[in-house]
Amino acid sequence: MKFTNIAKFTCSVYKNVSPKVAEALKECGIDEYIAQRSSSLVSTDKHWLFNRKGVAENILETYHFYVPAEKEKEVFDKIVYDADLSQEGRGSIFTEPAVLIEKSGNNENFDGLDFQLESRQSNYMGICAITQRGKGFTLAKTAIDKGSGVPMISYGIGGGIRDRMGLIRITIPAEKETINIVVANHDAQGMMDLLIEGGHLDRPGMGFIFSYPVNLATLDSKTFFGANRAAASMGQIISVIDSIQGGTEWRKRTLNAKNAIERTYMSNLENIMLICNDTQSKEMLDAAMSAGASGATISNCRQMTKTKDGFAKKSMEISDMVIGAAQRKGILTALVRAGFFSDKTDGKIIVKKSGTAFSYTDKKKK
Amino acid sequence: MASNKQEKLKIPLKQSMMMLLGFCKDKLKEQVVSVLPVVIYLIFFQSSILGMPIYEAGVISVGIGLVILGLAFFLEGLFLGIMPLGEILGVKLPLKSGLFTIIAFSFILGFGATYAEPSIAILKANGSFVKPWEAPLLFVMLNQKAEYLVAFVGIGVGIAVIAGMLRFMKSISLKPFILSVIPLLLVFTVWGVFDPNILYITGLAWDCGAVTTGPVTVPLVLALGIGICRTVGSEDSDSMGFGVVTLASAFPILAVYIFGAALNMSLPEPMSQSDFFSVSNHEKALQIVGSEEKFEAVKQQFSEAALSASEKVEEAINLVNVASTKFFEAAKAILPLTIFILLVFVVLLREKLPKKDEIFLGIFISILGMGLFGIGMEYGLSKIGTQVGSRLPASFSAIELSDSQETMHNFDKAIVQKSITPDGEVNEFFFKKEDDNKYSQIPFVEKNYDEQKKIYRYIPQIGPIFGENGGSGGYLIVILFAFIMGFGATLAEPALNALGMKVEELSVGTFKKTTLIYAVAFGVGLGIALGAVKIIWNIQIFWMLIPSYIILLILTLMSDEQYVNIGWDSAGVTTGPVTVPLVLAMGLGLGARVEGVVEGFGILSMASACPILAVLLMGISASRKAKKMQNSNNGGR
Repeated sequence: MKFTNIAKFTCSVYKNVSPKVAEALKECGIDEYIAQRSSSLVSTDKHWLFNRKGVAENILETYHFYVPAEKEKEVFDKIVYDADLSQEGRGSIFTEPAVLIEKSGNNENFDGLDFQLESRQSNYMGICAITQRGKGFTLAKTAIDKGSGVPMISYGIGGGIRDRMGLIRITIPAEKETINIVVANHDAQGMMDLLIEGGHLDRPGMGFIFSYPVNLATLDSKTFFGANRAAASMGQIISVIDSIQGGTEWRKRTLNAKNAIERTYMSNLENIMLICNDTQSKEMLDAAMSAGASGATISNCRQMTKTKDGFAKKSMEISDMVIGAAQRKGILTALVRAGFFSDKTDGKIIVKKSGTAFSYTDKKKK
Repeated sequence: MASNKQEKLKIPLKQSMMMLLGFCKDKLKEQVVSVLPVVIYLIFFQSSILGMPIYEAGVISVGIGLVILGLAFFLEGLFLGIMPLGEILGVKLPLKSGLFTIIAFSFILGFGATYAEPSIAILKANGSFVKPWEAPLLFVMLNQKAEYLVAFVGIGVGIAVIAGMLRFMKSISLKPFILSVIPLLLVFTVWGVFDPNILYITGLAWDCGAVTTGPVTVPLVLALGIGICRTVGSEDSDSMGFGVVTLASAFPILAVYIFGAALNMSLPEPMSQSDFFSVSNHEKALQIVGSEEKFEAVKQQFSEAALSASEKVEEAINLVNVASTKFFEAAKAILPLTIFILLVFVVLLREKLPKKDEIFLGIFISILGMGLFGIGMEYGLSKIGTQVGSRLPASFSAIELSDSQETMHNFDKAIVQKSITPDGEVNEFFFKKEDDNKYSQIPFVEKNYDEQKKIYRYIPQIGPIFGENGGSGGYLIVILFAFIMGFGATLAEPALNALGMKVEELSVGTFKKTTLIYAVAFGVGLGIALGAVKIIWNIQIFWMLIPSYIILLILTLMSDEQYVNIGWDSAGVTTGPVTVPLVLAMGLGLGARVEGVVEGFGILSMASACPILAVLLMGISASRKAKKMQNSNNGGR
């Protein structure tokens, strides 16, 4: 096994911008990246017949890739410049510090799995909410109504307790929807509370929400498309003040949820991202779950790898799971033993730090 | 790995039952919502607008219940078993096998699917009603060469699936396929205007295109395409795996036309019945029917005596028979295809089937669902469809209500009276005493009177309900009826539901399933309304097909690849098991009232063309909006 400190990039752009991002990635010498279709939600002018909710959903192209930690800033700046992401209405990009675990010969260094993740103070926090398919709209709408950037919505399939139930599992829908937003650090807790309330995540079976530290970010603040009533949009004004003030600290405010209940958040968590060959996730997650993982969200993606004549496409799966930091070694060991690095599965593991997390828990059990 | 197998979570029986109940309730509710609109509308139309009671209401409501139950099971089976099976094979096939294997597999799948489709058998069965002298080519294709016909359709579908898969692998747009095949089909259709033999197979050809894209084939091929697209093709292929259904509708039409054109060279022109049986034309007649024995058989079948006898034979519908036929058909449509795919998966690819239990359960309940649905259609939806369809013309003309025929015993001709019109036309009528002590006048028709038994059979008439005979008010009602019925029936189509679900999933919710279904339903409604116009005013189908397809070709050129794929595919899925019987019933009902029209073909082909129009127009508007949004922020560079 080989361990590398990396910066994991997530870049989510509208379709007209995606060729520029792909081009920039090539120019940065990134030989392998993962692309996935996701969608955005923005407000628009309402129409009594065709758009009663006053929202528009558009396809986004989301790129996942990583570079060695020391090249983070350089690559970030180049992509922001080339794809013109500082301009609103084009897309967002952010980076997370992470550790990449890859296959390296037959060296199974299980002790190495005990590494420490670095923790850095950052200005941004990412929030990821996983909910039942069809319920994501409310969450995304809550987020933009409370002034977050454009949310990134993606589809996935949930795995966890459901898979251990026998055939009765078919009565529980496995389809999930994942909403990702990145907000200023000081807004994170308030936004999480609002999302929990707006999406009823404090009810049984409604979903899971967690936050993660984000190092660098340029966010798309154009959450409204419609007739311009002023010379500059609110998003443009905010981004100018951000750059004058040199950060988002000036925007500090209190995001108060209606019923501010003291919630018990889980902490000391890590976010594990497993990337492996299409249809292999199921078997791997079985192994992870028998080692204590509680659930995961699987989504399809395509991996583009540089070859002699351009980039070759391969269908892959990403499984995302949040685990306790203490569980890491056990779960990853189980994964490797189950053949996660074999040719058939051809997997890669990205370990990231996670902030706090919340899900409904049965109080009686406690 | 065995060591990693987790312990099964044991769920108490009571809790499982509660979960199952809740689940079934949700699924049934979905189908109730999709089926009830058209049912309520049909009942409302018959009882309020036409003012007639529903016959056999009890049986019909049980039938409708079965339709709902069947659809719920069938769709769940599709989503649980058949579609995941297709998709997973699509993912694995290009990884583990070469181009030749994929081509061979695609061909066998397409060819086999044709034989599994129940509607193909119905087409063949229609062969015996064709009069050999009226449409020699059609007669030959459906009788002498029926096996070849099915093979040609199968080859068409097989080639279509190959083309579809190669398209994905090489990332070729669907547009060139549409722009080359559809004009060819139109050329054949125009040819029909000049050659009566070709004219008669026009209906057959377009129908073959519609029936090959059935409720099992469509979801399976769709899932397979989506799976293949995940593995092959360019970085982000816009087709997303759609488009095979379009090819699988168009290629068989072309295949039937080509087969017909080839046969046509050696066949005589249509002739009159007396010419057909005349000695001088015996050689030509033999060319058509094939042999001396068959000629005799045809002579027998179409002789006066046989015709009148056949009318009186009423087929006794028996529940056990219907049930076993429907379940057999369902198993025939589903099992061979799924077993073939399972074999390819296990034997050829040597892969372990993931989620085996779900897939097998899915296959089982899809058969169960399709069987129940079939029975329900026979007893419920088709029945009420036929009732309304046959009475629909009452809105603009007088029709006889054969269901409520009355027999009057001890009828004495002496009670018949005479009346005269200002023009001097003499009519006969008599008075009848009703239950409520009122007297009504009833016209006397000599042929309904049996002098020996002193029985008069009276068939009540109704209509025209709206305005005078042939008044435009009545026609308007019929056209409106056609639109709403088409709209409502489409909402319940299972294959459209499957297509909508996949579209929503692959577009990450930006293209909603309901949006697609409503656009398509609007299109079908419009198409059926146009079809009704065609029948009422007896407009040549040519005048409707050619302009609408020309508009479609232009719109196709203007549209984004994604919408072209989805739009043309939605045409193939609309002519499904719910819409077709209802439309045919209406077409036949209307056709019987208008001289010279006896086929529902025009309606079906319009019901395919208009949804494409609706989806493409919607797509053009959506792409414009998206472009406008993106252009508003194109950045400084």
